[in-house]
Amino acid sequence: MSSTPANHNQPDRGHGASFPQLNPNPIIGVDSSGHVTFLNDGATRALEYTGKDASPGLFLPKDMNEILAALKRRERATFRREVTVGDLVFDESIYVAPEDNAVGIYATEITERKRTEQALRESEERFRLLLHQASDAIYVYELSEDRAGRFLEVNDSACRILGYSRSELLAMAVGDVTTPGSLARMPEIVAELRARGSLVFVTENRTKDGRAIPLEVNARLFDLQGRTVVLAIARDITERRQAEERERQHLEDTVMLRDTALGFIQLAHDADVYQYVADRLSGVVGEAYVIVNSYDENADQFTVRAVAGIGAQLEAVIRVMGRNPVGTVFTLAREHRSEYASEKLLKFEDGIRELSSGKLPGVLAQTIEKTFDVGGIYAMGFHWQGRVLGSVNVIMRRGAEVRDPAIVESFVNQVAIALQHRRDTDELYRHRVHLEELVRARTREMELANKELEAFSYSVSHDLRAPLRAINGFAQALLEDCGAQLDTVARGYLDRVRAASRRMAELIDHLLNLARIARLPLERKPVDLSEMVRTIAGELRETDPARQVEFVIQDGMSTQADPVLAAMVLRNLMDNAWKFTGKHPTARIEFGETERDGERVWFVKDDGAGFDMAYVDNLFAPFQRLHTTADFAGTGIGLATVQRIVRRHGGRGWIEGAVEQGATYYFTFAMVTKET
Amino acid sequence: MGDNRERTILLVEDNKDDEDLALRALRKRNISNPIVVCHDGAEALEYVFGTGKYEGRNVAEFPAVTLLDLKLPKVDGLTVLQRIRADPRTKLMPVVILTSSNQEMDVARSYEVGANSYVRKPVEFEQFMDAVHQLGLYWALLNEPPPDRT
Repeated sequence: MSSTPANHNQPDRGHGASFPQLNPNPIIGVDSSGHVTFLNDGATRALEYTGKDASPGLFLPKDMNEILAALKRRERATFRREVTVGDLVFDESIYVAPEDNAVGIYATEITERKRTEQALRESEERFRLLLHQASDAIYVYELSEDRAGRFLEVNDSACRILGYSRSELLAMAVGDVTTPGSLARMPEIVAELRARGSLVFVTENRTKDGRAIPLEVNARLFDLQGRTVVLAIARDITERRQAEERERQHLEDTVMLRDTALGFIQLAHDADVYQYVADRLSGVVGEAYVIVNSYDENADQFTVRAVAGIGAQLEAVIRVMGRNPVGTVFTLAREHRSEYASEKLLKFEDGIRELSSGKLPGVLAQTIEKTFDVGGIYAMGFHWQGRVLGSVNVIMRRGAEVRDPAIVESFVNQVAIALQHRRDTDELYRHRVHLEELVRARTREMELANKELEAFSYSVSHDLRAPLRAINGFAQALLEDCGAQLDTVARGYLDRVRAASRRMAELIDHLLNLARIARLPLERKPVDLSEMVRTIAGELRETDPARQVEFVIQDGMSTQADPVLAAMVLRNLMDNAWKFTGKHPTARIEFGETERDGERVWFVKDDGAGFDMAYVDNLFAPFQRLHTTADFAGTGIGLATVQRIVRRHGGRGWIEGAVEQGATYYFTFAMVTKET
Repeated sequence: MGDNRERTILLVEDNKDDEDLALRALRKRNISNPIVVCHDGAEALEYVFGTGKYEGRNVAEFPAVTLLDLKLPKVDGLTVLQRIRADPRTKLMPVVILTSSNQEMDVARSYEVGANSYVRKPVEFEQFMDAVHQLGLYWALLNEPPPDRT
């Protein structure tokens, strides 16, 4: 060996045999001072590949000094080292040869192998991370007959969710952690999984501490070295289930609220509204005892009206309190009452004692709390526009919570509105009943009055006329039988007696007619007014054919009216017109239709004696006349009768006229139905 | 059947004035039939059915015409008429309601119960006499009475 410093770039090619020189693997010779004395072609190529100035020293392992120390001690030794030269990794066998006072390094390039190993390691790491970091439980289990359901792999989440350690689970089968209910469905699920290769299903697992948890499983079948295994990714859906349950409950409560509103409307008038509220409320609150109270503003007192809630508790309450709580009257401290006008559920921190405004002895309060396992106590007022109408007390069972305070609050607020509404309708109902009573009483009175009027008419009709007959009859008898003994004056007196009795009989008849108009039922039928007037005009003309009277009758006038009464109206008006034109040599009597204020109005117009409008009001009062009997015969009943008939038809009548310029009577019959 | 002139005319009238005027009117019109006057409904029934005061009277020989007032003491006119119509012996007896009332109720009920005619007593004596006279003549003289039932 040369002692000259080694030229790294130009090793001594003459040293050693040609075989090492030709070896494609790097072979390096090192002298006792650590200088590289030999590089074969393989080593040179490796260095060239590494870089232009790459030193052969790069092939030396980091602990080269220790290896050289062995050479100094003249020990034969072999080392194995992994050395990195640039991008290349070499597995080096290092031989210490004391006989040569040199060290030989035989390197094999393992770069590719190292990279593969590294990649595998990283891949495994990533897989491990994936497996164990996943929040879903992942397990792999066998499906083959002999090892059915055995876990082959489970992840951390599976351990966490099921509460077992990994080693525990790996000694178990999937059947061991499935609840009996879900286990029964397993064969069916497995069959489907086999048929389809993958399946999503919901199952229920049991944890180590015995809790059942719902899981949504995404299972896939695959072949692992000839064995059929299942890769299952299971998600704990407890929270989803709870959310669904909350959602369902909320929906149910909302429906309940709506039903309550409807129920209120449909509740029979005499139904126990408070019991209805108590029952409904206890349905929303959860495990609780519900008390519904009414509030009397004047007495400033609450009264327990209904209780509902946890099963047979009422009997126990009666046992402890010695009475049924319904009917109990109590008062509240002022500050509570004002809180009752809020829209929130109030919590009574001092329990039963506070609920009773401190009236209940502490011992009894404690007994009650213990007996009934009392938890939170809440209260809320029914209030409407600042007025408290009543309240509810909600006594929760210990450990139970008001399921959905917002729902309870909206329920109570809704009840308040409904209660107020009910109070209003009650009041309306009372008013209506009262009104109906009034109407009945008034109707009875009217019926009675009508009966009396009828009896009176009957009596007048029979009894009042009889004396008149006697007066008239015997005056006549006197004239006939004893006429010869009487002088002209005496006979004249008797004539006047007879005339007076006739006139009185006439008055009686007219009066009876007037009374009858009020009494008889009104029967509306189509009435041809024009035709009626024409008939009357013909009859009038017959009574005195010599008179020069022109009748002008508009055609086609008809209405809905009582035919008998309508005829009476027209008869009276035409009689009047005929009568009051009697002193004129010629006359014109007109019947027609006109319009006043959008209303159909009929009129009977004459050009006769007329009247002074100053006395117009007198025309309509019975027996009031504007002319003397000597001028115009009459009883003064006619227009009063007309007026009464027109009013009974819901119409109105009025008269216009002037002295010696005639009179016009206008009238309407209100229509029952609109004309089409 | 005998001469209609011999048959009775029954006047049921509680008012003495009306009775006298009616009798006078019949006389003046030369109605010579015997006239029986009853002053209330009960008496009229006794006559018609031959009981009480008229015990033994032959019921079959009913009056040629009965002038019946409605408003009567004891038994009212409508009831009397009902009883007459209810009995097979008298149900064909001619009965004319003669009253001062012109109330529809009275008129309607009279015909309902079976009055042969309804005449309102007019205040005017002449008319009254005409009415009675016509009735008297019509029923007592001109009308063929229903077949004798005996």
